[in-house]
Amino acid sequence: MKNSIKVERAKKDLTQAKLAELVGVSRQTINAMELGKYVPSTTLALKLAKIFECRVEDIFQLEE
Amino acid sequence: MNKIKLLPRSLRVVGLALVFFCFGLFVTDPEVVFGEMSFLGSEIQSPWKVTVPSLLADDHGETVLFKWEENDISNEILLTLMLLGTYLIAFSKIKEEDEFSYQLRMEAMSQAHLWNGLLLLLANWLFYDGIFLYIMIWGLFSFLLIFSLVFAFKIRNYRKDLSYEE
Repeated sequence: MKNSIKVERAKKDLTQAKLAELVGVSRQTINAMELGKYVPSTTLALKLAKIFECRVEDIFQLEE
Repeated sequence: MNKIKLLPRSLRVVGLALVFFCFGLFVTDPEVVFGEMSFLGSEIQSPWKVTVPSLLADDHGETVLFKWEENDISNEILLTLMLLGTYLIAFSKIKEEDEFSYQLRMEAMSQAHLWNGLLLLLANWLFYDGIFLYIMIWGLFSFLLIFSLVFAFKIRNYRKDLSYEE
């Protein structure tokens, strides 16, 4: 699973810490997701999509 | 999100204090684990000798279902405190508790289960008689200790990654 959290975060001009605060997780969790070390729960994915104002599949894609 | 109900973070400190206290007592006076107390090398009458209920006890060479017997409960107290301490360490919240730390907790738990099993299996083939009994006593809380160490190691590793930002 790859994701574009870093890109979406840059578009919104958010730091990892600010995004973490907005979705209610630790900065460590955002960092692990950006590094591809953690696949979030559906709840967290939906929260991220809401913050980034896009669909979940625009942020997370299955790798070929 | 968390499916495990965790204890308040402050109890971790209490758990650490209990484990260090029990470990310290064990190192300074290992005999206490077997219920024999000593002071400066000479044996003393334990103040913890009380009448306790005993299930499946030995009664003059016969096994009985229940009987009351005199027992030094200092070792029982020590093991209870040690178990309580390890539980408090293992199941207290960390500073950043969320779904990611929950996953790390689950990973640490499965790895600890594997390592603990391997260590006990090795002990089964390497230690005999009294030493084996001694190892089995440690086996009562080795799982929780290994789990706490693996979990702390994983959290520490991810904290290191935090230097990465943009």
